Amino acid sequence: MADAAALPGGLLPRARESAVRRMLANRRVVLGGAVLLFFALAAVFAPLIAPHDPVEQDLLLQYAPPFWSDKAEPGYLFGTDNLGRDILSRLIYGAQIALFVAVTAAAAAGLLGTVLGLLAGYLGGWVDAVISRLVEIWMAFPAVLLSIVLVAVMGTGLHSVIIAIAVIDWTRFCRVVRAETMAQKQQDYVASAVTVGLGRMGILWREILPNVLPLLLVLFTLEMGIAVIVEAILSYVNLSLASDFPTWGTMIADGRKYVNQAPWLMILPIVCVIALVLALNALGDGLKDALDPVMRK
Amino acid sequence: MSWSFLLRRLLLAIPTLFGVAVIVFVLLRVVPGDPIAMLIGPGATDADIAELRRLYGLDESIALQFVYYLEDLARGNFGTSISMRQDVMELVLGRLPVTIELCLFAMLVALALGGAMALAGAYWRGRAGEAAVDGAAGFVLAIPDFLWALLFILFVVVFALDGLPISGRIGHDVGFRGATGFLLIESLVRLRFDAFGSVLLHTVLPAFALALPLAAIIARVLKTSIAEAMTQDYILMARVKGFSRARIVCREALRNALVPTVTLTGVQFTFLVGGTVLVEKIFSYPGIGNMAIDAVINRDLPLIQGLVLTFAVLFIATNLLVDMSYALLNPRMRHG
Amino acid sequence: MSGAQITSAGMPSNGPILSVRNLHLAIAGRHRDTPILRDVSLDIVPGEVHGLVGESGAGKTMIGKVILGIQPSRARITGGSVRFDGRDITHLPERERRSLMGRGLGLIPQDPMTSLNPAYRIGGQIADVLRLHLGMDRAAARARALELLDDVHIREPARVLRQYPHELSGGMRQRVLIAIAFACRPKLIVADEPTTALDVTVQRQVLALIKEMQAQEGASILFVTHDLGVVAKICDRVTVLHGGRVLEAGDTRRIVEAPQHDYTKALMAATPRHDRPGDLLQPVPEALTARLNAEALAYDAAPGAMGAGHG
Repeated sequence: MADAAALPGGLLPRARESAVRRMLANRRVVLGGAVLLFFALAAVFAPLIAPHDPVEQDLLLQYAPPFWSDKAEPGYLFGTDNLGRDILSRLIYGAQIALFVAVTAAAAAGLLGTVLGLLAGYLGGWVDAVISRLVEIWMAFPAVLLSIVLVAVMGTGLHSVIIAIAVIDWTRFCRVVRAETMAQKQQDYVASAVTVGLGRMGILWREILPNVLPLLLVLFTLEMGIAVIVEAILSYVNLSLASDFPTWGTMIADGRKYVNQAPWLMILPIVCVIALVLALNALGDGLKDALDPVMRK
Repeated sequence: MSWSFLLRRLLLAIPTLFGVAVIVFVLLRVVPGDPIAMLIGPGATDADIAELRRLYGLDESIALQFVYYLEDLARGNFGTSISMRQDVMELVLGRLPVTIELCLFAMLVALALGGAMALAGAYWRGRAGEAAVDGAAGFVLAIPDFLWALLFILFVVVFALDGLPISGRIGHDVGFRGATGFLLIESLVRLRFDAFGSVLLHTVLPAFALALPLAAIIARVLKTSIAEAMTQDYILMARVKGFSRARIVCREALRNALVPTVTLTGVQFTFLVGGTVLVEKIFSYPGIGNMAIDAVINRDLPLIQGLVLTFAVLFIATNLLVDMSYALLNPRMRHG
Repeated sequence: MSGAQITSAGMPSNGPILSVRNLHLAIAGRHRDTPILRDVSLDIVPGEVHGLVGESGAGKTMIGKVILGIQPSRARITGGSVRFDGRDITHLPERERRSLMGRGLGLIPQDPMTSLNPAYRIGGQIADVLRLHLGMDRAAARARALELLDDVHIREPARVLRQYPHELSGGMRQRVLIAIAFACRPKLIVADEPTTALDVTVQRQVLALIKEMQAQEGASILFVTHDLGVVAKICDRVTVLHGGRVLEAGDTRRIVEAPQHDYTKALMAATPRHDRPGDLLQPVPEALTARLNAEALAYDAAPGAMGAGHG
């Protein structure tokens, strides 16, 4: 995802190369990227590395504590939950769901927001007025409640979760892309493109979009972090997937119920959510710093 | 502050409210997914469904439904809750004070915490103190309110802090039933300090969970604004007057940094209000946020509709409050 | 050099209120320090208005800031001393520096538009120095603030007291700042180009006001300006500065009528004069500026080797 191919085609290869080097020199990019990679590998190779079936119950082995306890059960590194399911395996499969939702939901929100933002920023006039007003009204809703209601209306399931995140968070992309498009529009290269005779859509596609791409990459990374949180929230209130399916949010919700008997049930999925979200935030902020000179060009 | 300014803001809220009402309508009636299917479980007969459709006016055309809907809203008629069999308006108004009190308390915490962090960072600018404040703000900000709530609960359980309740709003053994719902204020006015203490203890954790992200944002923005103010000529003048650095930061610079801070953090106050939905649920705090999740789980359409609208009104009211404080803080606007 | 009763040690009561001796100052950079002041010396006796003249970049504002102890943190005093009222204040700790303010030192700033705090009323901004340095209570400070506004010829002082800075014109604000500068009867006031930012007509009034207040209160003033015409009107003595070096110093009349240094002559030619209104104004010749800059650099290379220029 974060390789050179994602960078604007309008830049010279040299500038592209230095942007990559700047990214790799940024401590936050490297650190965030490493944690993200760790979770991504766990997600991709889940069937290979998970020691147990994540939904297999073993009622004789309830509440086995994790490895740091004396009573830990061998073979169950992070212990088992209230139904005797292996927590490590559930966490690994949970990463799969978290990352899948993060990528697809952020992409959907980004697509919707970018298209509307480009149109509003480039066309201006009544198109801009309508879209800006829509963004304003959208901001008057409590995002969490809205997502819960949306999923309740559409029915539970991952597709609802993804649609809900996209429908709610497109405004983040729209506002930034609109402002950036307006700024880019003022610059000479667009003026020269106009004289060369590219059509309006041609200018949007060939001149403006490549130049807002670095910004989009940053927003996309940050949105992935938000999507991870929203998915956890929806699982927590039991609206994401069927409850035996191992999502981090479901695990947190289960842990909340048995927090007095087995606090580790809640600790581990929370740690996973926080680690992934911190990594995505660090990556996003680091990319913003590293790409800033590119954006100013 | 001028009344015309306030009036203008109020008038501007009307189209937004209308837009919100339209979207709620679209969301609950037009979006694919039959609201009736949502309302009733499996095993209902066709006759039951037809009966329900008529009851909720769903057999009319969408346009007509919309007109009835607006008419009801204008009259303040939000219908009857299906799960609780009570007037939605009554239910919501009964719980609203709980959430308002929680939000105001959380906002105070955020202001105090964020303000203290910003002042400390500005005072020790360029030294370890500033780095500590920046690091803390960055970390706190990355973790959303609902995870803070869960972390607090874990903390209380793991360290057996039995003095800090993690559920409910007031101890069962405290025989105090407020007449207003604003228990914190009411118990204080009635000099029931036992009740006040109990509510306060129950409110501390949810309020801090809500407040932390906002406090971090305030700390960041305010610190930057103070640093910006510190480069101004009037600060040089204050140094020539012989004021101490603490006084210059806290009095001369802070006051001028407040206006840009309010503009930049205003929207975040509404996020705090939105955060109550989950945080109340997690702490079983009996406000409208908790009620909203129950309404969704019970598929209580009229109640969901009433609560979404209530939250939208709360959001708009919060924005209004922010705008008003902006006008109060800026001498140019007070007299403009 | 005139004012010859001055010696740098042992301060008699009729000695200078301010004595700057061989002051060197540099701005710390990433790789090397940039010298700003080079061996600057000047003295101000009680009751004197002392002009400090030079073009922008000459370092004259920096001298004023060093005296007040508000130079930027990257500015380092690399040599010499500043004595005020008989004590060495060159490297004064912050707390002691603050205690000098108000009753010892004051400032009339360059830009009145930005030098008052926009968040507070005029009355409060005058009263706070009175309360801090003279220990007045709220009512006494208010009464005195009213008096001060009257002293600087502000009409309806009671109303202005309740106003915010943005409600006043630039000239009015500079009057308020003059009132603040004189509020605690300081011994020395640094006036840092106090009329530059004002309209021409207002400039004249403010200049007259500063002179009137100075005569009334008896403070000394270090008057920093680029305008020899203003110096001729208000100053007793003048120090001419270029590139951080003192080129010439002496009584105003002597400097104006018989300037010794080429640069002073050039500066005179560049200044409009009311006694000879028809004269064409000559900018300072580039060749002269180049020569002076080269001299300054040579001085940096071999400090002390060049004694030239000290009138």
